[in-house]
Amino acid sequence: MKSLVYGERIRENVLVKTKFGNCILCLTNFAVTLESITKGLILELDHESVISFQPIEKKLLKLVWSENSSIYDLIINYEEPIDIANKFKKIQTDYINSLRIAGIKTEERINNNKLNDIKQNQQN
Amino acid sequence: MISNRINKTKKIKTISNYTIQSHNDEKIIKAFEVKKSTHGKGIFYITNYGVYFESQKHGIIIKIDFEWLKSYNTIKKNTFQIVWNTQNNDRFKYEMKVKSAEEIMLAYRNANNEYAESITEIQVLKTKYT
Repeated sequence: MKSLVYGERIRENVLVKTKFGNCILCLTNFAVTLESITKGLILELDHESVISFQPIEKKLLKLVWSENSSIYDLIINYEEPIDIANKFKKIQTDYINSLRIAGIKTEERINNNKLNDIKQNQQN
Repeated sequence: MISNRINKTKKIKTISNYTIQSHNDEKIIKAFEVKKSTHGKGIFYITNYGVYFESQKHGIIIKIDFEWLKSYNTIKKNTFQIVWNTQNNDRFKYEMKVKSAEEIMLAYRNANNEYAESITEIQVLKTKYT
Protein backbone atom coordinates (compact mmCIF):
# COMPACT_ATOMS: atom_id res chain seq x y z
CA MET A 1 0.00 0.00 0.00
CA LYS A 2 1.19 3.45 -0.82
CA SER A 3 1.97 5.59 2.20
CA LEU A 4 0.40 9.04 1.86
CA VAL A 5 1.99 12.41 2.46
CA TYR A 6 0.24 15.62 3.51
CA GLY A 7 -2.68 16.39 1.20
CA GLU A 8 -2.38 13.17 -0.76
CA ARG A 9 -5.47 11.15 -1.70
CA ILE A 10 -5.69 7.81 -3.44
CA ARG A 11 -7.84 8.14 -6.54
CA GLU A 12 -7.44 4.65 -8.00
CA ASN A 13 -5.92 1.29 -7.06
CA VAL A 14 -5.70 -1.31 -9.82
CA LEU A 15 -4.28 -4.82 -9.94
CA VAL A 16 -1.92 -5.10 -12.90
CA LYS A 17 0.87 -7.26 -14.31
CA THR A 18 4.29 -5.98 -15.32
CA LYS A 19 7.74 -7.43 -15.86
CA PHE A 20 8.06 -7.21 -12.07
CA GLY A 21 5.14 -9.60 -11.60
CA ASN A 22 1.76 -8.91 -10.06
CA CYS A 23 1.56 -5.32 -8.92
CA ILE A 24 -0.77 -2.66 -7.63
CA LEU A 25 -0.91 0.49 -9.73
CA CYS A 26 -1.87 3.36 -7.47
CA LEU A 27 -2.94 6.74 -8.83
CA THR A 28 -3.05 9.57 -6.32
CA ASN A 29 -3.57 13.29 -6.74
CA PHE A 30 0.22 13.71 -6.50
CA ALA A 31 1.80 10.57 -7.92
CA VAL A 32 1.69 7.30 -9.82
CA THR A 33 3.15 4.33 -7.98
CA LEU A 34 3.70 0.69 -8.79
CA GLU A 35 4.02 -1.81 -5.97
CA SER A 36 4.87 -5.47 -6.28
CA ILE A 37 2.54 -7.60 -4.19
CA THR A 38 5.49 -9.57 -2.86
CA LYS A 39 8.30 -7.01 -2.83
CA GLY A 40 6.73 -3.66 -2.09
CA LEU A 41 7.30 -0.35 -3.84
CA ILE A 42 8.94 -0.51 -7.24
CA LEU A 43 8.30 2.81 -8.93
CA GLU A 44 7.07 6.21 -7.87
CA LEU A 45 6.52 9.13 -10.25
CA ASP A 46 5.13 12.57 -9.68
CA HIS A 47 2.65 13.78 -12.30
CA GLU A 48 5.16 16.22 -13.72
CA SER A 49 7.52 13.37 -14.69
CA VAL A 50 4.91 11.36 -16.61
CA ILE A 51 5.11 12.06 -20.33
CA SER A 52 2.35 9.70 -21.40
CA PHE A 53 0.20 6.87 -20.15
CA GLN A 54 -1.51 5.41 -23.19
CA PRO A 55 -3.21 2.20 -24.25
CA ILE A 56 -1.19 0.39 -26.92
CA GLU A 57 -3.37 -2.69 -27.25
CA LYS A 58 -6.46 -4.04 -25.57
CA LYS A 59 -5.64 -4.23 -21.85
CA LEU A 60 -2.07 -3.10 -22.41
CA LEU A 61 -0.78 0.30 -21.36
CA LYS A 62 2.55 2.03 -21.85
CA LEU A 63 3.79 4.37 -19.16
CA VAL A 64 6.48 6.78 -20.34
CA TRP A 65 8.33 9.12 -18.04
CA SER A 66 11.31 11.43 -17.95
CA GLU A 67 14.10 11.26 -15.42
CA ASN A 68 17.41 13.16 -15.45
CA SER A 69 17.23 13.92 -19.18
CA SER A 70 16.42 10.30 -20.04
CA ILE A 71 13.17 8.72 -21.11
CA TYR A 72 11.93 5.43 -19.71
CA ASP A 73 8.91 3.28 -20.37
CA LEU A 74 7.08 0.38 -18.83
CA ILE A 75 4.39 -1.92 -20.22
CA ILE A 76 1.44 -2.60 -17.95
CA ASN A 77 -1.07 -5.38 -18.44
CA TYR A 78 -4.41 -5.13 -16.69
CA GLU A 79 -7.60 -7.15 -16.47
CA GLU A 80 -10.02 -4.92 -14.58
CA PRO A 81 -12.67 -3.37 -16.81
CA ILE A 82 -11.73 0.27 -16.17
CA ASP A 83 -10.22 2.84 -18.46
CA ILE A 84 -6.99 3.51 -16.61
CA ALA A 85 -5.49 5.80 -19.22
CA ASN A 86 -8.44 8.18 -19.17
CA LYS A 87 -8.64 8.11 -15.40
CA PHE A 88 -4.98 9.03 -15.23
CA LYS A 89 -5.53 11.85 -17.72
CA LYS A 90 -8.30 13.24 -15.52
CA ILE A 91 -6.13 12.99 -12.41
CA GLN A 92 -3.25 14.73 -14.12
CA THR A 93 -5.59 17.47 -15.34
CA ASP A 94 -6.99 17.86 -11.83
CA TYR A 95 -3.42 18.20 -10.54
CA ILE A 96 -2.67 20.99 -13.00
CA ASN A 97 -5.92 22.70 -12.04
CA SER A 98 -4.99 22.44 -8.37
CA LEU A 99 -1.66 24.10 -9.12
CA ARG A 100 -3.52 26.86 -10.90
CA ILE A 101 -5.89 27.32 -7.97
CA ALA A 102 -2.88 27.44 -5.68
CA GLY A 103 -1.57 30.29 -7.84
CA ILE A 104 1.26 28.34 -9.46
CA LYS A 105 1.84 28.63 -13.19
CA THR A 106 3.18 25.21 -13.92
CA GLU A 107 1.50 24.00 -17.07
CA GLU A 108 4.09 25.76 -19.20
CA ARG A 109 6.80 24.61 -16.84
CA ILE A 110 5.71 20.97 -17.01
CA ASN A 111 5.44 20.99 -20.80
CA ASN A 112 8.80 22.73 -21.22
CA ASN A 113 10.50 20.27 -18.87
CA LYS A 114 9.10 17.31 -20.76
CA LEU A 115 10.08 18.81 -24.12
CA ASN A 116 13.60 19.47 -22.89
CA ASP A 117 13.92 15.89 -21.66
CA ILE A 118 12.70 14.52 -24.98
CA LYS A 119 15.06 16.78 -26.96
CA GLN A 120 17.99 15.86 -24.72
CA ASN A 121 17.22 12.20 -25.19
CA GLN A 122 17.06 12.59 -28.97
CA GLN A 123 20.41 14.36 -29.02
CA ASN A 124 21.97 11.61 -26.95
CA MET B 1 19.34 1.84 -19.10
CA ILE B 2 17.79 1.43 -15.70
CA SER B 3 15.65 4.10 -14.15
CA ASN B 4 16.96 5.30 -10.84
CA ARG B 5 13.45 5.29 -9.54
CA ILE B 6 12.96 1.59 -9.97
CA ASN B 7 13.75 -0.78 -7.20
CA LYS B 8 16.97 0.40 -5.63
CA THR B 9 15.81 -0.32 -2.12
CA LYS B 10 18.44 -1.15 0.44
CA LYS B 11 18.11 -3.11 3.63
CA ILE B 12 19.36 -1.61 6.84
CA LYS B 13 22.26 -3.64 8.14
CA THR B 14 23.97 -1.28 10.53
CA ILE B 15 22.38 0.73 13.23
CA SER B 16 22.21 4.35 12.22
CA ASN B 17 20.29 7.33 13.39
CA TYR B 18 17.47 7.69 10.92
CA THR B 19 15.55 10.15 13.01
CA ILE B 20 14.09 12.75 10.72
CA GLN B 21 12.20 14.97 13.08
CA SER B 22 10.52 14.94 16.48
CA HIS B 23 7.23 16.74 16.97
CA ASN B 24 6.02 18.39 20.15
CA ASP B 25 2.51 17.07 19.68
CA GLU B 26 3.49 13.58 18.57
CA LYS B 27 1.32 10.89 20.17
CA ILE B 28 1.52 7.12 20.03
CA ILE B 29 -1.60 5.76 18.38
CA LYS B 30 -0.79 2.07 18.41
CA ALA B 31 2.07 -0.19 19.48
CA PHE B 32 2.77 -3.68 18.19
CA GLU B 33 5.09 -6.36 19.42
CA VAL B 34 7.80 -7.35 16.94
CA LYS B 35 8.88 -10.95 17.31
CA LYS B 36 11.79 -10.83 14.92
CA SER B 37 13.72 -8.31 12.89
CA THR B 38 17.30 -7.58 11.81
CA HIS B 39 17.76 -6.00 15.22
CA GLY B 40 15.89 -8.60 17.24
CA LYS B 41 12.64 -8.24 19.13
CA GLY B 42 11.06 -4.94 19.91
CA ILE B 43 8.04 -2.69 19.61
CA PHE B 44 6.76 -1.00 16.44
CA TYR B 45 4.96 2.26 17.14
CA ILE B 46 2.55 4.15 14.91
CA THR B 47 2.14 7.82 15.82
CA ASN B 48 0.15 10.71 14.39
CA TYR B 49 3.29 11.76 12.46
CA GLY B 50 4.87 8.49 11.41
CA VAL B 51 6.37 5.31 12.77
CA TYR B 52 9.30 4.09 14.78
CA PHE B 53 10.78 0.79 15.80
CA GLU B 54 12.42 0.30 19.16
CA SER B 55 14.55 -2.77 19.50
CA GLN B 56 14.80 -4.38 22.94
CA LYS B 57 18.52 -4.66 22.56
CA HIS B 58 19.50 -1.55 20.58
CA GLY B 59 16.91 1.10 21.32
CA ILE B 60 15.28 3.16 18.56
CA ILE B 61 16.48 1.83 15.22
CA ILE B 62 14.30 3.77 12.85
CA LYS B 63 12.00 6.75 13.25
CA ILE B 64 10.39 8.04 10.10
CA ASP B 65 7.72 10.62 9.36
CA PHE B 66 4.91 9.83 6.94
CA GLU B 67 6.40 12.45 4.59
CA TRP B 68 9.34 10.13 3.94
CA LEU B 69 7.54 6.79 4.08
CA LYS B 70 6.76 5.38 0.66
CA SER B 71 4.92 2.11 1.21
CA TYR B 72 3.85 -0.44 3.77
CA ASN B 73 3.08 -4.06 3.01
CA THR B 74 2.51 -7.57 4.22
CA ILE B 75 5.32 -9.43 2.48
CA LYS B 76 4.88 -12.92 3.85
CA LYS B 77 2.44 -14.20 6.39
CA ASN B 78 2.90 -11.95 9.43
CA THR B 79 5.88 -10.11 8.01
CA PHE B 80 5.33 -6.37 7.82
CA GLN B 81 7.53 -4.18 5.65
CA ILE B 82 7.98 -0.43 5.39
CA VAL B 83 9.85 1.41 2.64
CA TRP B 84 11.10 4.97 2.89
CA ASN B 85 13.32 7.58 1.26
CA THR B 86 16.00 9.68 2.91
CA GLN B 87 16.87 13.28 2.13
CA ASN B 88 19.61 11.98 -0.20
CA ASN B 89 16.95 10.06 -2.13
CA ASP B 90 18.29 6.73 -0.98
CA ARG B 91 15.57 4.17 -0.44
CA PHE B 92 15.47 1.71 2.44
CA LYS B 93 13.20 -1.06 3.60
CA TYR B 94 12.73 -2.79 6.89
CA GLU B 95 10.91 -6.03 7.64
CA MET B 96 9.49 -7.17 10.94
CA LYS B 97 7.88 -10.44 11.92
CA VAL B 98 4.74 -9.70 13.95
CA LYS B 99 1.72 -11.45 15.38
CA SER B 100 -0.71 -9.93 12.89
CA ALA B 101 0.55 -7.98 9.87
CA GLU B 102 -3.03 -7.26 8.82
CA GLU B 103 -3.73 -5.53 12.12
CA ILE B 104 -0.69 -3.28 11.64
CA MET B 105 -1.71 -2.57 8.03
CA LEU B 106 -5.12 -1.38 9.23
CA ALA B 107 -3.71 0.75 12.05
CA TYR B 108 -1.10 2.27 9.73
CA ARG B 109 -3.69 3.03 7.06
CA ASN B 110 -5.98 4.76 9.56
CA ALA B 111 -3.18 6.87 11.05
CA ASN B 112 -1.77 7.67 7.61
CA ASN B 113 -5.14 8.67 6.18
CA GLU B 114 -5.77 10.98 9.10
CA TYR B 115 -2.33 12.52 8.60
CA ALA B 116 -2.87 13.01 4.86
CA GLU B 117 -6.33 14.52 5.33
CA SER B 118 -5.21 16.99 7.97
CA ILE B 119 -4.07 19.38 5.24
CA THR B 120 -5.72 20.08 1.89
CA GLU B 121 -4.03 19.49 -1.43
CA ILE B 122 -4.06 23.19 -2.25
CA GLN B 123 -2.36 24.12 1.02
CA VAL B 124 0.37 21.57 0.32
CA LEU B 125 0.97 22.81 -3.22
CA LYS B 126 1.14 26.41 -2.02
CA THR B 127 3.73 25.48 0.60
CA LYS B 128 5.73 23.37 -1.81
CA TYR B 129 5.93 25.84 -4.71
CA THR B 130 5.89 29.30 -3.10
